[in-house]
Amino acid sequence: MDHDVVTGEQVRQLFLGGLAAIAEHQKEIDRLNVFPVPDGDTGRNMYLTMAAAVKELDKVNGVGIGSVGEAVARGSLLGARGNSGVILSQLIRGLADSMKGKERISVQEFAQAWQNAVSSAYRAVIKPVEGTMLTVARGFTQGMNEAAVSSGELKKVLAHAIQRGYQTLRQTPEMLPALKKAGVVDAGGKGLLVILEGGLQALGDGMLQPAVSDRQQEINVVTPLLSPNEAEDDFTYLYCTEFLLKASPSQIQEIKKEIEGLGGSLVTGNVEDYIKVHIHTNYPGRILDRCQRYGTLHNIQISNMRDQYEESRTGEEEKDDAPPVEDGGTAEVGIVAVAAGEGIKNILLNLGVARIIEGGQTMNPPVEDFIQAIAEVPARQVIVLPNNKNLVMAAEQAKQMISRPVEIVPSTSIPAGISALLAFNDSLNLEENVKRMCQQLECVKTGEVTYAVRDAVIGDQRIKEGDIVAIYRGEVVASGSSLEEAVLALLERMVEERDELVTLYSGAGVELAEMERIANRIRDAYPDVEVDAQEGGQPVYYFLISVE
Amino acid sequence: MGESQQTDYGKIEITEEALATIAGAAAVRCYGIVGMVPRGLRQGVSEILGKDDLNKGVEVRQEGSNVKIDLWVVMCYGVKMAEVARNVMETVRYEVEKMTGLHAIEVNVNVVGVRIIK
Repeated sequence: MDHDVVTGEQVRQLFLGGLAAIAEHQKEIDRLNVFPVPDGDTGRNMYLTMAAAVKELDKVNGVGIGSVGEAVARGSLLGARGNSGVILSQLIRGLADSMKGKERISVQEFAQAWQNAVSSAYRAVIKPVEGTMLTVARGFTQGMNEAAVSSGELKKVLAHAIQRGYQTLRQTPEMLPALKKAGVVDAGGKGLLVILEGGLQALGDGMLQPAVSDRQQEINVVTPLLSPNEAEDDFTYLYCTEFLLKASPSQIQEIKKEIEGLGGSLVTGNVEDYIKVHIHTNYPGRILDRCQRYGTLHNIQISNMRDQYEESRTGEEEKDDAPPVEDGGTAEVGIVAVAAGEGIKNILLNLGVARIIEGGQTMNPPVEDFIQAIAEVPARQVIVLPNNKNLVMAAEQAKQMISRPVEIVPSTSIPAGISALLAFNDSLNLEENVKRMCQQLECVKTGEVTYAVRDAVIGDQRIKEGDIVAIYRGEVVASGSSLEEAVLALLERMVEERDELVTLYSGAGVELAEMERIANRIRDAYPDVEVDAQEGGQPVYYFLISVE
Repeated sequence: MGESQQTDYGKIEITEEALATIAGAAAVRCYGIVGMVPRGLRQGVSEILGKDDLNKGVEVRQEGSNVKIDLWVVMCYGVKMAEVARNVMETVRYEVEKMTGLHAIEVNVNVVGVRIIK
């Protein structure tokens, strides 16, 4: 049995051969392309991506496999074109990661590098679709690993793996209806195998330099879409100009026409009888003049974008400490929510809540706290999420005592409040938001897992002080000493067939590992449901759980 | 709200929610997209979203038979964002037009986060 090593030179040959092969077959692969968009460019995209990778080979320092890998990874990343090209570049990047800093690697390590590359490529998409290039790459990789066990010879191992890849490729129409309907195999998968075959061939007889140089011209086409400095220096228009124009919304089109020639990034929108105008221009005065013909101007803001850019570069650190709602002064609708626990508070603030009222079960904040929080919100109108049954009343009372527009979305639990927040849309008005958020409340079921504060008998259940109890709709649905069992028993009551998402919020004192273990058990028990686990850090409740 | 079409048999209405679900479903199948984030959501909480909730992180505006779509996404670290975004635009536009017959005249991809995948 030969024990080959894989060298930088061999990887270079693989890429040169791969490029020549894809160049030759690109038209054929283009014709296979029906998924995800049948635009017939997969072959060309893969060719351009490979060309960009190979181009970097000229700049390699040294012949070690690590530096060769790094070069092709860099080249393919910058030159990635289309879906297939992006996936190809990720596979190359994954391979390069396993080669980093090495002079050469064994064939077994090369097979393992493929394995790593394919697994990380799979993780880069939420819903990998089977029957595509990823599937074929996995088939090929399985072949690599199978063969690497019994043989150490690179060419033999590659040959076997390519064969396995073709087996997988032939199955792709069975996995993906779009392919079956069109009567083709997956284009990206085929392209990958063509590249690998070309690489294998090049390892065999070292052919094909000419094919590459023939294409040199086209290779030069491969430049990054946007130079990194482009965004920074592009100040075609210097002033960001924003204002409200009190005018009839029916005139909006006319106003747009009037000013659109004077600048870029024009955005208009209307709130009742105000039209909001946002434009980047070099002539803010002219914009204001022309708009003034339609009505009165309000809240005029003109800022010099170059200054802003300079500030953002120098002041980045300070910015991090800024309060969560830095532009709250102009916000239409701000949100106040009741919460306890660091994790929960952070989640809420991240979701755009302007003020948090500390409180919840066993520590009901007084009405004054609501009034103060509402007063502090830097927005014209306020939505309050009480997040507790006992606090809806207090929130209502606060509303009566305040003159600015306040609406209560009567969330009775933290998870329900969070869910309602996700329905919030800052481009809608108060009324519409309240409607959306209340609708969302109806879609959420909330359960709680806590401990008994005293002995009790509920129905036929005997509960001892300190027992873990699971509560759903005001009813104790499970009790005992195991947190895990309580959660699962609770979910058994909560999850119905049409539910899609379970979110766990762990309380203070619940270990992360324990939450993960429980989350995994839920995943096993409900394979069709997405399970999300968050550190809530709330007191009193081991777990707050929402099911949507 | 929604596009309404009169036929001989009756009316067809496609709500913005339906369009958002189609767009979301197409986006999460695109390579390089590891999360969808509702508008206004800040960094670090993208995990909070059920990945199956396909119309979160999607906004649809209809103007007659024209549709404008905005997507808020998290990409995985190490991809060429402009290219992934372009793939998302193409795929979303294609799926929406194929399934509804409406014209997706704008598909905007907002990258609000990057997640490191290991």
